Amino acid sequence: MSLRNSVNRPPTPDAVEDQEKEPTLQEIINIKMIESGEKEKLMELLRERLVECGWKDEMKALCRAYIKKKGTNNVTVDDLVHVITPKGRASIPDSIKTELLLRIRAFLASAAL
Amino acid sequence: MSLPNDDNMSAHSQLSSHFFEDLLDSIIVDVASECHRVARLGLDRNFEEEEEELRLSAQARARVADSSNNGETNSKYVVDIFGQTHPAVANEIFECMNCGRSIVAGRFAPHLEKCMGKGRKARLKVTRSATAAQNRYTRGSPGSSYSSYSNSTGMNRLSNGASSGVAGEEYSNGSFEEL
Repeated sequence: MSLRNSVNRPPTPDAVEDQEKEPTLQEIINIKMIESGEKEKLMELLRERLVECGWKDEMKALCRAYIKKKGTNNVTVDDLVHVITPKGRASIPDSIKTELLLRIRAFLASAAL
Repeated sequence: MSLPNDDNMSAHSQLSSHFFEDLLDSIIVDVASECHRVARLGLDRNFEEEEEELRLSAQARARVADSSNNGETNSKYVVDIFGQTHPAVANEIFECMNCGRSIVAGRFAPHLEKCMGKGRKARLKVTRSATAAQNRYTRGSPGSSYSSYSNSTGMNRLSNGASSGVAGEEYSNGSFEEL
């Protein structure tokens, strides 16, 4: 049907689209979490717990020390992220991690995934 | 919490952990971004203070190390914690509120002794107190010394003991100002 030159166009890449149409389980969960508002609640809960236990203050102190060493104008957000990520991940108190994981698992179960 | 099969369970835990890591990473980026912002905008008031304090304490330590030998022997050059030196004789100059003369602070107490205190010559000065009071008023002196002066003129007439008591007060005023 599309035999005219002017409307001749390469076919839409259906093959690639097919692959993208199938979201991973991870993505499905993410979407469900966001849509239901659960992700927001979990973020707030985690933030609150991390402030309470002093984790945030520790991270801020690390940042300040690094900034003082390097000089205020030589630091990027990326630098700071790299500075605190390893220590940040390692110094999460177990109780907080457990609490969050339980809630996430409960959500997964309730979403029947 | 019982799940039908173990695969489901481990997949769930894996997913949960993965999701938790995501949340944590987001929060880490937030904290880093906040710290970056505070640092660049100069909002952290403690930041400069810390550096200043470190510097000052290093300076003070150096000074103590230097002058610790001179401390006892030569009091002229001893340095206190504010970095001030005190000469042996205080060298600020004040006006005597009784006679209106300029007196060096270090000589103030002995001067007052003679000026308004115990001696025969002090009592003779009482008659001139009214003129001295007027001069003092026009010069705009601090209120506290003025009021205590007017008390003392009254007291002077009573007895030696009372006037020397008031003079004692004056002494303490003088020594405060000396510091």
